Amino acid sequence: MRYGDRLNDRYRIERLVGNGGMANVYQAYDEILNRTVAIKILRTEFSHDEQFIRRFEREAHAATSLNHPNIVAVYDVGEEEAIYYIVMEYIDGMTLKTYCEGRALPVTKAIDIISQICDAIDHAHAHRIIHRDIKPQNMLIREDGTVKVTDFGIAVAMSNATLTHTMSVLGSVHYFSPEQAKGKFADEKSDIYSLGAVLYELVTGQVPFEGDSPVAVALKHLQDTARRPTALNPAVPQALENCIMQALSKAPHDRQQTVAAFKEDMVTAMSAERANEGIRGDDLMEKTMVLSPVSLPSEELEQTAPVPNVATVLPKPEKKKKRAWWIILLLVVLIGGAATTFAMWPDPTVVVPDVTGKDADEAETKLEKMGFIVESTERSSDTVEEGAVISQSPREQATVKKGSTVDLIVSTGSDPVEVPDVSDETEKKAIAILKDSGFEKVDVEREESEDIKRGNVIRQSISAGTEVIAKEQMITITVSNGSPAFVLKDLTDLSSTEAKAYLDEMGLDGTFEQEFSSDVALDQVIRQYPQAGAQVEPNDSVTVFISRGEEEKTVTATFPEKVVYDGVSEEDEPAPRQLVRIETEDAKGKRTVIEESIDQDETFDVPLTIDPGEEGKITIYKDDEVYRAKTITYNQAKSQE
Amino acid sequence: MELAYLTTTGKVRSKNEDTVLLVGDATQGLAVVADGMGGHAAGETASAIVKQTFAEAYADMPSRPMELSSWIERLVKEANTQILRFSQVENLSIVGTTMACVCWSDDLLVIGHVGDSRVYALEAGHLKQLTDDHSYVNMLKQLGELSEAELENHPRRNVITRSVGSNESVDVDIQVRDAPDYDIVLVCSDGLSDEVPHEVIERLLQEDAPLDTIVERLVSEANDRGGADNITLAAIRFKERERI
Repeated sequence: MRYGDRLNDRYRIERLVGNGGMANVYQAYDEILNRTVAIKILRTEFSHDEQFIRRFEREAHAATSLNHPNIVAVYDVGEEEAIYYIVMEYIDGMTLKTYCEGRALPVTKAIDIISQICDAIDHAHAHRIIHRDIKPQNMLIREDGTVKVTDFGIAVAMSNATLTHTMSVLGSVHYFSPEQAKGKFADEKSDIYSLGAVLYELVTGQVPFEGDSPVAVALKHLQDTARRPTALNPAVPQALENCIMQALSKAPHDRQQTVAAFKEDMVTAMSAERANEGIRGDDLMEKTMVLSPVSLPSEELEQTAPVPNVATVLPKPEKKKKRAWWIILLLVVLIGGAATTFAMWPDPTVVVPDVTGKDADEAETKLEKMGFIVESTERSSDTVEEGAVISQSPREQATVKKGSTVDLIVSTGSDPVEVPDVSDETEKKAIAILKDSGFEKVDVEREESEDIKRGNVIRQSISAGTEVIAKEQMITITVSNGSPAFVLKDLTDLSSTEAKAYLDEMGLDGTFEQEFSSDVALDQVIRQYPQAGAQVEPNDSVTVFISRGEEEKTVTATFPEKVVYDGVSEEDEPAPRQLVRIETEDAKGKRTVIEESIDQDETFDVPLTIDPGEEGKITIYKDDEVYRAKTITYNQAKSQE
Repeated sequence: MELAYLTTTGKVRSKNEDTVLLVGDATQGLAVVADGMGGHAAGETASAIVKQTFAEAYADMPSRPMELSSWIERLVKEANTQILRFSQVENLSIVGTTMACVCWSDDLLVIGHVGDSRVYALEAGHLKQLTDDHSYVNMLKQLGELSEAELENHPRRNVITRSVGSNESVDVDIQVRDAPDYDIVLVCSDGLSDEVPHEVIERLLQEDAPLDTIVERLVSEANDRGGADNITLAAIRFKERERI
């Protein structure tokens, strides 16, 4: 695409404003609606690749269903001669990434920006769309401070596992959640984590985790705790740090439960009531030690009983100890390794044995005897038992120089996990949450319940907050079958969406029929079968008749058309007659309806037949010259009728 | 000594972006598989550059372990530079290729790989994977973060962490094996290893049949299981088949 190129005979390309791996974004001018737009065009190298095209279209589709002042609007999607494009609202501004330039923003400014993003994401969640790729590169900020979120649907499209290897899709690991790193169920809580990561960056000027490679960063999301924002920027209030660190919790159920709750937590962090808030994690740790439910201290609790501001730096003695142990081990091994190397000279190479799955101590002894330097790192693992070697590098049978280092990753066994609270979650989501926590077997029992919505969890066999080795445990959830028989409510005057929501909630099988109605407004329920008050059970079918609005029919109306006589007579001669001819063009075609001569003013009734949405035309000729011509719309004809 | 190779588009894709090279005899030889990525013809070009680079240099293939190792490294770097130049000239965004190769010279076997194309060996009836994929999921697995089952269902399981032609520098993993006791060595693209389970590859390689028949069976197995990607393999049988 070049300057001046025209897309679909409508959009004039003005300049390239950005390029990504998959698509380029241009500023363009919409010559029909006379406005500046942004057009995202799939890179031509992919315009023959069906998978990319499908991905691109899915992105457009996801975004068109959202309409919010903080979401970049999508106007049009199209294809012209193998150029695939999405026409979007043009935002005169820059990405949040460029805006920050790696520096910390004033705290109030950061909160203002994230608040707007929260509104956008909250709106998307209400439409059951998870963004899954929240990052500053996807936020556009205008000069007036308005922030708009873009790129909905990219992540949805990316989950297509048949996509071939691509390096680019791992680009934004800095903001992705631990569950995304593990390829698991990413729901609303995953977006909350990413929002926390972006807020972290805005107030500290740094991303939560840095690393040499995407894998290193992903691993930190899974295992490390980010440096506390107050340590990086003393201007960050403790309450705001608490909000950020809770959003960055490894377990989804430890985070704020909704985007709205996160926003509330963030916005109130600047209030006077929370000025003396303590470190939230400390409080939490005490709570979990006594195995109380995992719910976090509520806002009221913190406000009425402020915890004194305790130590500002969390000590991490464990790490230091590990390092010291390391140095000693390394020295021992180095000396040992050097000695053996010397003794075994002149044979300089040796084959690495396979020690994966073996006991780490045995493996170390064996390798050291062969003259290797052994470096081991401990990691928790759900798949390899405690004390055994998870992996080795170089791998077995590789030939290496004697005295080379063999890196071992040693398992510390499964981490005990806190059982998440899945009560009142949907069955599907509850199972996903439990499987993510490590439960391999989730049993489902069903029973009737008046209080819990049909399909949602009534209770769980192991209570929330209990610490267990999840893979060794079986957990049973009891799912509500709803109440057995109930009274069908009156659906008339509800909108079709409301009626459908009601039927879905009650587990009824709804059928929707459309009918014209002159009394009931468009999209409202006219009547239902069975009628309101009938006893129904889940899975019963209910037919709902929805109004299509008033039926539009062809109308025939008569229009009185006055023709003025203006013939001038010469002296004694009788006044000349004037010839009037009236032509109409309507649903019946073009024809002459009246042909008469007049010697005085006269009014003619002209009939017109017009179909819905169409127009009719009346042309009046006087003495073969056009005297008057007019166009009548359907609505005008209807009011005349 | 028997040699056999096959490369096919599979059942889903419209073109084949894999390339394969297999030359040699009982004393020395070379097998290379490359799996290209990128829109238009970019993937095909990238993998073709790897094949071409090795094919042109084969006449000068050294026979000593250290020389052979640096020979592979040099060729992969050469291919890397050429692919980078190509993507810059054509202004393409995502271009690169994986590669896996096996060079043999008398009793010596040297393996090199970048990305998720693999080298397997059948030894005493057991199939062993000799290369570790340079992929996001495999790295997490090696760190004990993912189980085999999680790895198979991971949405990013096709993301590779190293490739030829995507960066200024390229890091090849080289393994030198002195007089290994392998019956068959198999070099393949992920079109085979993603579709066909380890045990099935093992069972098919154990079968008493000419090597080219076995290679055909492996390809049709991958196609029967979906054939979602291009399927390419090169196999070398080092030991005579024991005929019954």
